[in-house]
Amino acid sequence: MKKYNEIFVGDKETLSHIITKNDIDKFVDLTGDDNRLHVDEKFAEKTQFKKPVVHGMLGASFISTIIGTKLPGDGALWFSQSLEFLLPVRIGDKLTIKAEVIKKNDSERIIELKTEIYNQNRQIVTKGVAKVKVIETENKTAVSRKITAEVKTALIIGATGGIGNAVCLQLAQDGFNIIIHYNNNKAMAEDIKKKVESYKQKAVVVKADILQETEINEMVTTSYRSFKKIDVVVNCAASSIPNIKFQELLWSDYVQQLEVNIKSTIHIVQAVVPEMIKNGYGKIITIGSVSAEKPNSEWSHYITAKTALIGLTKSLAFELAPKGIRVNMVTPSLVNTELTMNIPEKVKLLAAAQTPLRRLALATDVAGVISFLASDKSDFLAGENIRVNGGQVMI
Amino acid sequence: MDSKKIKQVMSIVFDVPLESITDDASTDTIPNWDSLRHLNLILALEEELGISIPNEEVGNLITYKLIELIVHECKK
Repeated sequence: MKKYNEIFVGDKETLSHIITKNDIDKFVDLTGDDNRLHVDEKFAEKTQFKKPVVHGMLGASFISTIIGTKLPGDGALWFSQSLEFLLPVRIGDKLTIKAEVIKKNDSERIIELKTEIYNQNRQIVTKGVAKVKVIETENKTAVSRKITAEVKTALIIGATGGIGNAVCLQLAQDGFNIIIHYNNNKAMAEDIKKKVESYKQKAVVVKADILQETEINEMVTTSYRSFKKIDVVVNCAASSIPNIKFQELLWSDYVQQLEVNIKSTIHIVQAVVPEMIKNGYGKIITIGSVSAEKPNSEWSHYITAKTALIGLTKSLAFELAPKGIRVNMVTPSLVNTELTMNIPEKVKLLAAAQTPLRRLALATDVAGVISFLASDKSDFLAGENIRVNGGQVMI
Repeated sequence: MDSKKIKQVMSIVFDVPLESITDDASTDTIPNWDSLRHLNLILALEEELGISIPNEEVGNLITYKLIELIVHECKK
């Protein structure tokens, strides 16, 4: 098949066909046009033509053949044709069908073709003009496959937390190399590195205080020394969530949550996006909270920050998607991790009892969805928020 | 001690064998646990255990573990 840009005015194609009695019979079977002028020799003899005349559209149907198989070929959408039948065609005539590009419409990707059918005596028997839209198949799938074939690298921020740890192991099983970020728990980070390597994947451990922009930039620079690119970033970082009544909350409580959720995400994304744009591909995954949609008391600081993160995720998704960077969010309900260990047992029991699937979320539940978002199976998702809450919130 | 009493109360109120009140008993596992019996459960627990269950907790007593925990809180 010819691509639109490979077709030029003046391009020509031809094909030949000898009309047989069998062609006539098939045409009659197909169309039901058994006009005696075409099929009855005795009848034809009484007319000015003296011998049966081949159906005009039978000859013209070879214009379809030349357009559909040669100029432009597969994917041609033939949407207009003028025809003049100038001379009769008889059984045994050798037809030569010619098509020549006479015009191109770049904005519509349409070509116009002069179509002529000649008989063996070089006489034009049929002529007309065809209009064809050149349809090209998407080749983006091929690009995705190429990317899939390479080993991708994922940067997991807050890898030593409950969700971060599970995400590292899940993505390692998925075939990712892992950059393991930590701030305080180096021993845990090194332990995760060993586990990642046990899956035959490469891993590096990087330390950074993600509230400091300079440390984020250093972390990303360090990562590029080990891996040529970062394909996926998952921000699992979180700070403790103390229960504080609204009237006792200080602005500093809000700032703490906003810094961990918003400021850090902004700086991390700003640090990795330039290379992702160069690569034309990247995935950024943020972690939301069910409490942003189903609030509870005494978490105003946390809920405010997580709700802001929804807006940040969507705005980044909108702006970066045209550059090939998919920004999406995973929103778990209460996950039994170190972060939530201070939540009263009653709250956890109630949450589980009120969840249609009757349990709390596990870190592996969240990691499973992140695995999907990190994979090319989710390449057409942008600004999506996937809820992992056992049915607690259904929207 | 409370555990045994709670299970006995649940068994009587819901009219099910005591052994069916396991630690994982809940509205999912006891078909007789309807809204009327739920109110009877609250009254029976208050009477048998000498406690007063706050209104805001009434809707939370939906599993044996939660009942045990809330009863414990009410006794403090």
